[in-house]
Amino acid sequence: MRPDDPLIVQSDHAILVDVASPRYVEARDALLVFAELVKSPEHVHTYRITPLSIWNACAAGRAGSEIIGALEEYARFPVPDTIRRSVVDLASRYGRVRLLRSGDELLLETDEPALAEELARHRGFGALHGGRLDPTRFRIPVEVRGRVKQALVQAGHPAEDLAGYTPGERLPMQLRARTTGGHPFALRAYQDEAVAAFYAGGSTRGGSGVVVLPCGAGKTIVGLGCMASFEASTLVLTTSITAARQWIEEILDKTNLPADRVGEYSGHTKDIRPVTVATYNILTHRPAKNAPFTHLGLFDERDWGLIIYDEVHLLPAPVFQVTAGLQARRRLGLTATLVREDGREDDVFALIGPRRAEVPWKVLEREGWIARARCTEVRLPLPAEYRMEYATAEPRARFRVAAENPAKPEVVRRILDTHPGEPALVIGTYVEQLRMLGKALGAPVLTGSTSQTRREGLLARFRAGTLPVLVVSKVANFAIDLPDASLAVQVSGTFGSRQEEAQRLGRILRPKPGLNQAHFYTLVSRDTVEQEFALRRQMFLCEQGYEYRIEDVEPSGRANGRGPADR
Amino acid sequence: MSTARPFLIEDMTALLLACSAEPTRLRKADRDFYARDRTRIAGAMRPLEGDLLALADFGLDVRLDHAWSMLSRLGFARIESDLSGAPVYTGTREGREWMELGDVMLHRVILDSLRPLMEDEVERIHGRSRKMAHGAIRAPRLGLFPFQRFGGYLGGAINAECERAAAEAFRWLVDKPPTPLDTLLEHAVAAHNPLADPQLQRRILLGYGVARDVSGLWLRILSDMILQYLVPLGALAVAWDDEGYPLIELTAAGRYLFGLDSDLPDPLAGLPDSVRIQADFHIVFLRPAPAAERALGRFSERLGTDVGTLFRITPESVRIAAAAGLTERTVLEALEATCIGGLPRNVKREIQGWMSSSRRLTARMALVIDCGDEETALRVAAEGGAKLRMIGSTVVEAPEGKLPAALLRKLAAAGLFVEEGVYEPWD
Repeated sequence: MRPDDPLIVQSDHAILVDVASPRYVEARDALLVFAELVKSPEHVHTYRITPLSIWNACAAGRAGSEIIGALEEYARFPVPDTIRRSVVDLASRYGRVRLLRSGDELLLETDEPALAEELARHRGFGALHGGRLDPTRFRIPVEVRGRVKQALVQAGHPAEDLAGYTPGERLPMQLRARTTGGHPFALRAYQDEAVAAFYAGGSTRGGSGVVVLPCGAGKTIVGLGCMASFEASTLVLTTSITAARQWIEEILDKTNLPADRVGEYSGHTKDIRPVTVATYNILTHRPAKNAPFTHLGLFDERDWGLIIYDEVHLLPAPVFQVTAGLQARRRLGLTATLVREDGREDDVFALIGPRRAEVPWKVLEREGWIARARCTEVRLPLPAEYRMEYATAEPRARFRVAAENPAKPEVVRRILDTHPGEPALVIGTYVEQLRMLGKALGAPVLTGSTSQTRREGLLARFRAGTLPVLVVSKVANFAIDLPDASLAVQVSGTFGSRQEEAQRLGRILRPKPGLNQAHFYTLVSRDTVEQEFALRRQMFLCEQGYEYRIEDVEPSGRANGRGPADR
Repeated sequence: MSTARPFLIEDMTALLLACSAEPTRLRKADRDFYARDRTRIAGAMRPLEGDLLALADFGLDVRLDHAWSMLSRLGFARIESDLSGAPVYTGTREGREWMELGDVMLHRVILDSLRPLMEDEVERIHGRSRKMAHGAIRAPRLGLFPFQRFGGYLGGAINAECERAAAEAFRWLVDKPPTPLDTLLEHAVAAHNPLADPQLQRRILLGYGVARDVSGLWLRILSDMILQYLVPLGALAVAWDDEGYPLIELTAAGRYLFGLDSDLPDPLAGLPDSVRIQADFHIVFLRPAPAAERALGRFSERLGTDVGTLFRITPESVRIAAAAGLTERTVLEALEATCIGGLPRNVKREIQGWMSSSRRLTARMALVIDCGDEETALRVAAEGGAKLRMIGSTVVEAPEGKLPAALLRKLAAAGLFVEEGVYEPWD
């Protein structure tokens, strides 16, 4: 046993990392290359080795022996033999088949005739290839390039895609040294590294893949950096119209592209320009349930040199299907997490590409690039007159009764009073509750039905600091850029959704002047089903390493003395 | 290096936890667990180290039966009938009191019940009350003699003699390095054999039909003591020599059991920096710490063994612990004693909340008379006197669960005719 070494490698492919170890930082940096971070609570972080994590490492040029070497270097106890074998086996699978271009055709080749035979008999791949050229080579129709890659991942032999990309329509552009507002602008070091990893000197080894950065770390800026590297027409896909417009604002603010080169393709506008920003919603829109998707043609409207998938962990299934046919285009996925709630991480790897860069949020927090967040769960009782309604409600309705606890506005007010001058978001799920809150707090309410003009006006006032409190519904979950929010009060959520929690917390993580401290409060009705769901969110935030406090308040708003350790 | 682990304590607590939250149904035919419950309970038991497994058949089934037997003999669990009359295995109040104890006392109560002492000595140590001065409960004295005891015409005195002689034999191990098991047994036969008395031998011959030389019987008694108590309670550590023969060594628990030490050391004291309790309720062992594993396993869900993420604290695991008798204090003390980096505040707060929301309720069979209207109910209650009481405006209960014939006659004489009815659910 080497007690100073930080890794405990378990035979179930989990790797525990002791943060207190003197070698923690170097071990973490080594691990990030070939293992996925599962959770990072205060003392011991958990990583996991998966086929995808090993193939991601191989795509970045690491060999199986290097991975084993890193594990042995930092392991406290001997590395289990099963792990050695597993890593060597998985690593040996990457690159054994290669996808190459030969004139106008694509070829899949391997050095092993036996493997070629095995693949030829694989149900998925066997139905896709266009015939064998010789014992080790297959002809691949251009249009099934993505589906072939998916099938090979399923077969356990991911292809190294060296077939290259169509250059796309050229679009000269540069990042500005000063924004249009006159502020100095440059990529941060980690953003620059992410761009370089994706660009890979313009070679076929780059040009597709995913950059993983925490909320607030400037994923959009990485996207702009990649656009400027390739100088090609770009299609940007985002999660909402608001997010699309913020992309456009950022492009115009931080690159030298004029406004007439940038278009919006959404439910409101169908403006296709050399840089077009669209939403997943419009792409997956169809007039009837079984009708074809009428806007997927956007992918062929121009000779795109780069497609950017914002929040790639939310990529909808129809866009995956189209992306399978777009393998000749460069593809950049941006996300805060590679974990998809639908479990389609394999498809992200096969169709978008391997992970190109990832920076842990703790590193960014320490360097001041994102704010420190303190999470507090505030528990308050359900008023006696609502107890019977709660007790007799159907199980699903109970959650809503608890979530809409009428005592919450008073507590929200108290929280806001303890953070005077801090721009605050009050976030909830139920519009009626939000309207009541808006009234009680004298704050405007932004929901899905708020007109785009009013929405932009409210956001502009909030950014300018003339609007201290904004009540927002689920529309704020994704990609609304509210740079000055440092306080969020969550009054209701979607049954403890972890993804929602991450997104909402992300709203306040942009760096703050001064102490760089953000506060995230969640109001929960005590002894109700809402408290049970809150436990899931608590677990999630603790797994991420956030400090989590629990406080009890009584209707008067005073802490009642329970849980003194929490104050 | 020798291995000692009081796995019988672990097994007893695992079984008591399993049958306390929800009494475990038994098969009517043989009053044993159903296979699925056996599997479930055995799943909560920690596998044994190879050194111990090589010594005897300490398989999970055997360990489960042994734990059952010990809990039953100590009165910590018993077979009862549930409200439907089906047999169930359930923890008792005494069992819950035992579970409430800290790790050292939990162990000590069991060792105390085996200590080969004179009754007056037991009384002097334990006092007359069930609760001992140091807060532990007094368990019934089982003695060190194996399960099958001498009795009847032979007289129980032989048992006590055997216990004393065995204690002398095992005390001989004190301060010795790991000693071959056969060396100990040879010593016990030569120097401490209570069955060597010819008169006694003749009585045993008559009673047990064993061969004229009863030295084999003494060896068997000693072996049973070792396998039934001393190894499972961690009083003897086991190792193996180069030729594959077992070596044994007296541990701190053994020294206490045989009266060489006055108390058990706290196994959690001086624990190296090895256990981390995370804010996400997972407990990570950075190096093996069996004592901490034992302490934490009483109120958390096991995920692994030895090193790594071994436990997760959940509302369910804390609720089960509360049902088995653990208190907030016991749980938090165990966590604070084992976790080096400090107990996360949110974990402490949630455990306090889960514990404080647990309640112990009592269900009993009752007999109620549905009177139909308030006036009739008042008349019935008046006729019944102390034997009946109103529990609603139209319902009267016979708290003793029966209606004596005299009372039925009295009610009939008042024009109140009671007949047996069946439960009809509300609309």
